[in-house]
Amino acid sequence: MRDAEPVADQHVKTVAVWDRPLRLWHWSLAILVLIAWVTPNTYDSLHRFAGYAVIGLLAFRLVWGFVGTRHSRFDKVGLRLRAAPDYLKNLVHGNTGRYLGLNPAGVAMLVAMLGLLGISTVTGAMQVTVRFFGVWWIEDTHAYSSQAVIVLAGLHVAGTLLMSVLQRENLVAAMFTGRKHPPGSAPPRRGARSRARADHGRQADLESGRQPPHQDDGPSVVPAAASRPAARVQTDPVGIDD
Amino acid sequence: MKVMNAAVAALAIGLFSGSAALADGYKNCTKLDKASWKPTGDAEAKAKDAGYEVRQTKIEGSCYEVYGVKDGKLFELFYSPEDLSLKHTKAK
Repeated sequence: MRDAEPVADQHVKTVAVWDRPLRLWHWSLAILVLIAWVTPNTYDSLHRFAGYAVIGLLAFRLVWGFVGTRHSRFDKVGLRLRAAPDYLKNLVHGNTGRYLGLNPAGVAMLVAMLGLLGISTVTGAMQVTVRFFGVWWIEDTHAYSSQAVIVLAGLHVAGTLLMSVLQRENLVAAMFTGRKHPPGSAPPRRGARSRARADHGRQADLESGRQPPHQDDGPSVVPAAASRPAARVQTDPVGIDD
Repeated sequence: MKVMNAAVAALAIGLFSGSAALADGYKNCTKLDKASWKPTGDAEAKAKDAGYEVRQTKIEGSCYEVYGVKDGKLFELFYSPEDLSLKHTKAK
């Protein structure tokens, strides 16, 4: 079995979501992007090192998107990408579907980030070749895509913190431990939970027409299942796996 | 986890504030008013005379920054718009 198995009998039940290579990838990328952000023009060699290292990380991520564990893979990227506009619209109204892996907004962020990082690093590398040195559009593309990466990184941090608060789950910690609470088991406040549940129902209709928000592919889990989350941890690993 | 969050926050703040402190490359070549600057073409001509293939010229602060290639190597040449003296050469 993969490592997305529910682990019973911790004082709060959590499940493995982000595998170790993905976590390492995430934080390496974060650090390298920060380094690249503060080094252009001043520390050229460090800036270049960061760029080449990011290219390596992007290559790894593309491979890992096919061979990694469940939540690292790109299987559901298309599906969730299509759900992203509606998800964001709902979010504006305070409805947050719970996902174990990336929610649709997170998937959109991943795709945009990978794309922009690719553009940024490749044009950056081109800039220091004899052929493309001093070619204005290469330079501009590198500058704008790099700035966009920083903007996205800011949005990513803001979105992560927002969801951490809304769903009462420390998502930053989850990217260190790799573990999260399965949907339906985390929010400790009763009021918040029942409100979230009501939203779930509405959201299920809005999102791709049929799926409950904590699982947007595969067989639908009937909403009733959400009202007995503890049982689902034992009996329905598929249902909580996303 | 609080410790880790604090560490991440500290790292982020350190790097963000650090970025403000970093200079943004070479950019002080003259105090002369921009209206009295010599044309960029003169700076490029000087670079060509020095054996560079000129790719592009930009104004960086109070400098003309000429992108030049020489013997397959990349350089940024910083000229003073006041007297076209070469202030700084940066190998890329």
